[in-house]
Amino acid sequence: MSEILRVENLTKFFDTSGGKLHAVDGVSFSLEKGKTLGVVGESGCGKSTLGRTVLHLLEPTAGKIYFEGKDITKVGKKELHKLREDMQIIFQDPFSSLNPRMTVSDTIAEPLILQKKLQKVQIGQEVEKLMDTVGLADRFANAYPHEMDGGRRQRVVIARALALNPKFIVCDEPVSALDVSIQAQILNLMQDLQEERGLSYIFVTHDLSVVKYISHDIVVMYLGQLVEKAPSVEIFRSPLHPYTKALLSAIPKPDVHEKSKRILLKGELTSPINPKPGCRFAARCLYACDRCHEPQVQKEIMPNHFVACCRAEELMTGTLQDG
Amino acid sequence: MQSVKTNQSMVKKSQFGMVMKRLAKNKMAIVGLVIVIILLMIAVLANVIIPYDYGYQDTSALLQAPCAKHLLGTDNLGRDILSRLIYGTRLSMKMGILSVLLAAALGTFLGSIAGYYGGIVDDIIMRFLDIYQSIPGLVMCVALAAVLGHGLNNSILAVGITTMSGYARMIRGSIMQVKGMEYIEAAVAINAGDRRIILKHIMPNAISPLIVQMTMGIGGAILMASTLSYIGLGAQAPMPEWGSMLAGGRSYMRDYGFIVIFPGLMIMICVLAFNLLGDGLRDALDPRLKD
Repeated sequence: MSEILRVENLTKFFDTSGGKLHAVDGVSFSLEKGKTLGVVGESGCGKSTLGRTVLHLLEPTAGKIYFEGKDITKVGKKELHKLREDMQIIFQDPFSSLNPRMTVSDTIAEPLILQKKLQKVQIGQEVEKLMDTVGLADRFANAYPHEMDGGRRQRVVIARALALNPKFIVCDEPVSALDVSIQAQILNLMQDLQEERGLSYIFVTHDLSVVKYISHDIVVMYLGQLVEKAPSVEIFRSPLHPYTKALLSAIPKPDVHEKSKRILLKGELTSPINPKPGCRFAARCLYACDRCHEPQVQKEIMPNHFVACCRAEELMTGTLQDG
Repeated sequence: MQSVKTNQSMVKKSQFGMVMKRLAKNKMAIVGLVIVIILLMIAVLANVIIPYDYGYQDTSALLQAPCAKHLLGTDNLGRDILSRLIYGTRLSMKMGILSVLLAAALGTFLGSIAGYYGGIVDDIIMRFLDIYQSIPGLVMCVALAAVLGHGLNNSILAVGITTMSGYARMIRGSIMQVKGMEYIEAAVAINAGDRRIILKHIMPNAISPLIVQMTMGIGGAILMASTLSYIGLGAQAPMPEWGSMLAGGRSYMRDYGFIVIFPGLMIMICVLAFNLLGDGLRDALDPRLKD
């Protein structure tokens, strides 16, 4: 398996009136070809910003992005255009990610028109093929987005993303605006597409059951920082970071007899504007101690399982008293 | 992936066709549209259909009540009121439409710059507009008309410049709203250039409130221009502008009501028609509304 994307120390700050907002702060990970990396975290933790920065929809403040081994952190307009044929994005809300004044076929055809490689007739055929691929009946070709339901709209968004035959797609909460029954359809479609075309996904979501279903690897983010990184199975079996533990304990269990031990977090999300050094979760952490207020190092506690918590070992072995 | 196929297919509809179809469902809007079309036809054909020249004085029939010879009567100088109203339609339409076009052009220019670029440019333009709008419209309009001098063209300028800020604000708002939509980001992600994004994605979605406001603005502009004429700063006698007809008939109002009633009615009907049409367009232009 070869690596398609590697991100090192990626950082994106926004200037606000209150100071620097640390949306993404020193995030590193890599993505294998044909695999899915789930990015989870609560609202406002910078997971969408991460996806957009990788695609150069936002320019990174610092750090490096490698795509297929090539450094693409700084690219010219021409290279970026070429690059975007390989990297696409699927948005959260199919209501706002489709131009309400363009028909389905116009929307799907637009990337092909902009690519200027195909003749008009070929574009028409390609659009038909794409619609078939994502399971849209051809009678919708001339429909406007508002004439369709959310699931179909999301299929249009997927078709548009697939039009240029990309290798890698950032999925920014692609199913969280949809009904549960339709969520499953779209997720299955995405998995089928991944198998057929060997696509790699970054799957951004706050929905843990979705991420468990679709991801091979998972990274957990908290206030712009990566707190834990591990294969999907591993993270659900043995979460190590206190934040991940709390997050996973919030998944409802379909068993009435098993009493779930929900970890209730106290306090509010600390502000991402000019945060203090040290663990950003410390203020809400059950196990916080003095060492937590120093910068945290990411350690490989178990093979392929990285945690940025100074008490991870103690937590794992259970030799820890509540701080 | 197997898709569900049915016989019923969706035919491609033009945007204009869909808007008209939705507009047709609104009876009041159609009333407005019909009146506007009639008024426009009167304005265009004014020279052909007036029974008398607007300046012709029938000295044998001063202040004549409506009769067979003068359908709406004559004024104090013996001029046929119907002819003057018909010719006045041309003046009012010209003033209304041109001043709104001017206001919309100025406003779109300022508003789109503010909306696209944001930041300090936006701040400067918006603070300027804040000051601009703190001056009451009529006062500014009167002042401008007084500075520019009398006449129809100057009152078009005055009304256009005065009402510009509303358009600027509206265009800025709708461009900012559209700019934040994810389909703009999606367009960037598929390599659409600035020009394409502006023309294909931002403008079509930002423009419909402008069309509505322009339609309704014509009525307002006609009213404002009439006001200017009424106080003697707009079109000058003997130009049969509705407002100046009202002003001219002021002293005879008590005994010869028809002198002011008909021009007044024309203003009212005209403003009402444009407002009804504008209201209807507001609904018809929203693509999210179901047919």
